[in-house]
Amino acid sequence: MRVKCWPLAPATMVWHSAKEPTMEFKDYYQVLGVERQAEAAEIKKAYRRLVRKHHPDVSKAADAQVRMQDINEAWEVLQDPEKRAAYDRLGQRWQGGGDFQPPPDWDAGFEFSGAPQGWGAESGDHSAFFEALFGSLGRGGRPAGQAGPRQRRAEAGYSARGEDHHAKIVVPLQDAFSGATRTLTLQSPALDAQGHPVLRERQLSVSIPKGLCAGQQIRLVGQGSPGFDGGASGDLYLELQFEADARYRVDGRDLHVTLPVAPWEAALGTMVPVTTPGGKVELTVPAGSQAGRKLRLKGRGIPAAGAAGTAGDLYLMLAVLLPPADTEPAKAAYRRMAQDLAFNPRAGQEA
Amino acid sequence: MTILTTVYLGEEGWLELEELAQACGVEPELIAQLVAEGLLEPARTEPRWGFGGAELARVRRIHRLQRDFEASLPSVALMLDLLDEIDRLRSELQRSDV
Repeated sequence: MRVKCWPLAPATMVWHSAKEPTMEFKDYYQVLGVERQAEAAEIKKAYRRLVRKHHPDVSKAADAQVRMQDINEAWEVLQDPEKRAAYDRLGQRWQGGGDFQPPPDWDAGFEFSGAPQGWGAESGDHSAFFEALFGSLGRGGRPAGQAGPRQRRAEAGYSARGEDHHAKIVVPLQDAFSGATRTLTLQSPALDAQGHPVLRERQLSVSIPKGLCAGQQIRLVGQGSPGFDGGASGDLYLELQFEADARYRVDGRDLHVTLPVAPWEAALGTMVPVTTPGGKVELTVPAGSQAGRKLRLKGRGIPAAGAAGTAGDLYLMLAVLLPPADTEPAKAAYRRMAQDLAFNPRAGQEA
Repeated sequence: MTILTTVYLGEEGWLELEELAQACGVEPELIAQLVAEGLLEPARTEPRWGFGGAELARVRRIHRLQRDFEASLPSVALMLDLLDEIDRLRSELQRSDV
């Protein structure tokens, strides 16, 4: 009996902001679940409730981060009377459907002043829709003063470093053993020649060294936002996660797997060939093993990442599988065991 | 396309205090304060403070909690403890399955 290698699923890349490829009109009232006439207090209550429910540090939902981005964005607009009024006017004129572009004069008569209240705008936290309306990209004709720190510094007359970005990438467990080269598609809002906000895609090939474990971060220097006025580009940080694996449970660098054995293998002991992610090994199952016994293959878990690190271990939990008693010889064998072995499995439970 | 090679933060590469602050979009003073109040520990201290991937994730989480709940540092510290406890219980639950 051997532990088979798990099937390799194609790698999935998840770009952190999950920004929509086309820019869609966002209904911020719907996001917060309030009426268009809702009063400030009501909006705040709805916002607070949703933050508690969908905060990515609390919620286990896969889309929590995207939900939270929408919620924060809706709050940022609707809690600010000026932005809310401008947004409302835009909403009245928006017919819906297709790719959204704000009309050139949508914000005429409004002046957005000061930084957003309550929280600092963090790069990558806004949708393209928001960026188009209020965002730090909107220099010249777009509301001033609503800029990110980068632009504020730039406006003060000196060059500034680009912002750092964060992304998550999801890779198969095998990548931890062999290392891999993965191509990422990154989307980020930018301005086209006419000054319209668009989503730009770019591809990046990244070599992932072996020994990764979940939550680890790698840093790609200079792959964040471009700098302003000669400033250096920001960096891109990638957080690595494993795809759910059908066979192995991953705990840090340790792997856990079930090893099925026959009753006589567990009772008498045996050598079992085991295919581990790191290669084949012969495993000794000691005589007298019970189901649930854990065997450890030291250093056969996820390999160390650096020279100083230590590899994880591979734990195999024995599962004793009984042969079915579906033929006369099989039944006879079980009957013989019952006769020959004075065995009471419930001996310890009798009063 | 050129292939970008990388190292893992905290294994072979470290962030300095200013780099960590920049990456998290916070002021360097906050990092120093987090260390002083015991919410954060540098992954290494020699030759100077170095922070790894776990610290990066932690500061980003602290920043999110502070920002989204308007929470003070002591409340964030409590939230972190509770979240860690939930993580621990969840993985124990999972462990009892395999």
